[in-house]
Amino acid sequence: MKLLAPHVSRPALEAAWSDLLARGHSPEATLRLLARAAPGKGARIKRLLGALEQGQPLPSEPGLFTPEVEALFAAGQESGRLAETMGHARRLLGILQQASHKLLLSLLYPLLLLLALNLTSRALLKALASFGAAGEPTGVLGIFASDIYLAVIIGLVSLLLHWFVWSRRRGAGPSRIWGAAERLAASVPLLRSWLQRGALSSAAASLAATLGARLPLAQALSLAGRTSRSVLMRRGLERAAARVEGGQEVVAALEEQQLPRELRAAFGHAAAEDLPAALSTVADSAHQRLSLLAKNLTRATFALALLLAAACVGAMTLQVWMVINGGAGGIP
Amino acid sequence: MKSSDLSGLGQRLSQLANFLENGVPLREGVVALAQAETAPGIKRTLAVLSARLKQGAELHEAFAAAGLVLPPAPAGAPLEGDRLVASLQYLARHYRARGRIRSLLRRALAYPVVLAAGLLALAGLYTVVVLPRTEQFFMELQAPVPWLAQVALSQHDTLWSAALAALVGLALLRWARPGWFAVTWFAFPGLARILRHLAACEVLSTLALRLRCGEAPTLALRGATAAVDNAWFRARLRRARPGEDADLGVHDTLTRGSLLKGTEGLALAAAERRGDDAATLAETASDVITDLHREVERMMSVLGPICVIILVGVTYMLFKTMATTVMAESMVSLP
Repeated sequence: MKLLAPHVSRPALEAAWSDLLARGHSPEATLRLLARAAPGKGARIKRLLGALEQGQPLPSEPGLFTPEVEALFAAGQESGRLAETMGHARRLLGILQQASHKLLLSLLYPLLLLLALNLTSRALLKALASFGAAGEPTGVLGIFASDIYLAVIIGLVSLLLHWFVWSRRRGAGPSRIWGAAERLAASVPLLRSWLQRGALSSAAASLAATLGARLPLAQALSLAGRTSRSVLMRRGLERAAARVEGGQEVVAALEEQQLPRELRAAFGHAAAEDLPAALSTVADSAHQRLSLLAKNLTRATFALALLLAAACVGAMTLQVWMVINGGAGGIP
Repeated sequence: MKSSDLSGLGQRLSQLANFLENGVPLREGVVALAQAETAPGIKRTLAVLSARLKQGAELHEAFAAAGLVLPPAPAGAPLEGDRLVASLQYLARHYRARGRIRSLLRRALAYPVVLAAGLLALAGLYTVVVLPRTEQFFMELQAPVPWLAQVALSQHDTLWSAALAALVGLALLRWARPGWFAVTWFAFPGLARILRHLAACEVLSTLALRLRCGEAPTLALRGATAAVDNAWFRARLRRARPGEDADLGVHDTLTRGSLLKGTEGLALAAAERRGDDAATLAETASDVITDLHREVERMMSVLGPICVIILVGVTYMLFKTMATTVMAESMVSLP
């Protein structure tokens, strides 16, 4: 029966766990329900249940919950505000899932477009060859039609998929390949703003959750760093956490690490009790701007893809016409 | 009712609730909305409601005559003032949710329709334009025709007859049994999950309204089952539904009927186990609907690129084959 049971992914399990706790259900009752809903993970969930029933803290079970969710649960229990904390955690998980999905889709379209450029260039070069302009392809068309260009695009698609797989396994630590790619992408102005929006929305939501659970500031910063899927944001927050622990003021520490000014403004202007709400607003605002960017990029890519497709069909028609009318072309 | 009509009705009911909140009497509010309405379906509903209210009918009777089920006030209190506003707002939410489900369903089905129509058109172009020329070209060269082209050439009459028969069959099914027509979309991978989620939303939306009306969960589930458009899920749900005396919760029934899987709608199960009242269960069902809608939208955002990639890929291959054939013919015919 276990083989026939539906597969329940870790994000789905975490979402259900935080949702039920946010609705005020007890952790024990929630774990019992989860064990029933995910029979494939039943044994591990029952181990957690056993620990809770004996009054022990929730042990770490790899593959069930990420360290961030475990830490938020522990903080919520300790502060006596479990439902509120897990409500923040539920919101954070939603933002993380949506942000990665939008980022993946909006980057996938431009990559498909770059791939289409390769096909179009090859078709255009063949059309040019029909005119008798045969020889080694040079110039922009030659670059786009080259095998090296094709290999680079395939590499970028693989990198994107690699990032997506890694981002679903949160808590595993950043991949070195993605870290290097992010540093490279951050040097391009448009991409930098885009990556910053994504990283800011998740970091602000994470800080709102942890500060809402009354975690100490340094611990909250460190936890938000660990949750982030951006290597640069992760490093910045972890270093800022270390500075804050060493006695430095939080705004100065954030400024020193060149973290986004929205974060610095929230910490600089909001009172301590309003900080979670202010950070939630920052997260929402960044998330909305990211969504808008993704939507505009998708539309622009579609328009360009249509133009390219028209160029491709035109080139092929021209090629056929030239050959029929006695041009010197070869069979493609 | 169409999806736009359902959403529109939800908006009108919400406007009516706003009128009541601002001190406009119910009858005058309904008359004003009916006069301003342009959609025929909604105008008819509002006209019936207005006529019944003018005749002095009871509130529930008037709404029932217009085909609307107005949730009663809790604990049998008279339905007026704030309680009437709350009931109207709940009804508005229900119709907006139903409208959204229909609209999502239509959008989800648009992708396979575009894909199937595009592939059919390309297949037609291939068999009518490319294949005969390829056969002629190979015969002129006295070379054997490739086996795939041979099969396509010898059987293309049969294949087109079968495709035509399938299209006529589907059209007849759509006309005679729309519920079973929706089952055919299971053939498209990924769409079955979207249809399952939307069927669950349909059940939960009606269930929430009926629970608000004070029906027992088992009875409410019976009524909600009939509201599912998809015949496959309706039949499964009927089989999974508990008997009169069986103690099976709503979530368990939906899980047995394959409408919910894994951790989907687990909040409903938890609320049932805790023994929450009908109003809380209805609220939880509405929250589950919101979650499922979000999931459907997420899945649908992936369907678009998949369709575009398939269609562009097939078109490119077809153009390439055509170009190759025509050019090869021309090369051979050159002196």
